[in-house]
Amino acid sequence: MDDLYIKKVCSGDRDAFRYFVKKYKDMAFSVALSVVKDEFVAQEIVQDAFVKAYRNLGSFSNKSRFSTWFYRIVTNEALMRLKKVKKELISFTEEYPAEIADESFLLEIAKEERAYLVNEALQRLSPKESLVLRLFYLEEENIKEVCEITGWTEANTKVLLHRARKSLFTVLTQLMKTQL
Amino acid sequence: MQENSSNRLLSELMQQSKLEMPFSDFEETTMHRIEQTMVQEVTVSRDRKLSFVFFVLGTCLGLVLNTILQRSEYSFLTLSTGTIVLVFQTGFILLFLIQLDKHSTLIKQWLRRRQV
Repeated sequence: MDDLYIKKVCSGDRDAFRYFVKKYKDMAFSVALSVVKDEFVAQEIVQDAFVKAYRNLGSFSNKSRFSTWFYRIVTNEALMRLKKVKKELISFTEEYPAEIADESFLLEIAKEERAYLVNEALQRLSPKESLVLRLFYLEEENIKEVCEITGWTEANTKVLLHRARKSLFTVLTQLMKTQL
Repeated sequence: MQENSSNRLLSELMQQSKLEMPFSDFEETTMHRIEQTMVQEVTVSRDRKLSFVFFVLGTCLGLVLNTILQRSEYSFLTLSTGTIVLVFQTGFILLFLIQLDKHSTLIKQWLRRRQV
């Protein structure tokens, strides 16, 4: 389906690009937000990424999927924005104690609350950790695809993913404790 | 075994925590921005071509004027032809270098924008 719309856009049908905006805006927003942690900045990043994608759609080769190519643009934009912000702000990265987390408690709470807690926990993780979790679990759990999007090596991605899973459960445990 | 089950749980949790774009007008503003960008790009491209044409024309005119000045026996107030040519050439070279620098910056910007 993507290929058909790419052809349409390349042949001059600008409105056909709306299909991509509709289809990928939510996931792109999730990816951008996991890096920059601010809804307004994430929205700007996604918009910039869509404009860039539109302008460069002609140079898109079908070697990879459109989603992979597009998320790469979003990730690059988000990481570039983060670099810019980091120059202006002194960041304080929270260190989480290596506490053994028992995740079974998550099964006991309501679905909506669970979603809220996971999103809250992702907001507290480092940009790279939350990014790798978002990309891996929302994109068919494919390490190669994550590597293609981020430009990291496979080993690096696996290590980061392992660390991110641990951190997420630790933060979730802490959040549950503070909520109770 | 335990790692597998926590993996499954995490996968389930992440699927449930999918985010949605909270700005309802996002689609419209994005399409509008794309439209504006393309219009702007056409204008910028036309201006860039025009500026290049005028740069070449200006350089040619400067070279012609320089040749004419060198051949003429013209003096202004107490200044001799040699001095006038020297002042003209200095001004011409300065202007040429400034414009060349501006054009190279423009070309670099254009090339950078073409890359994703």
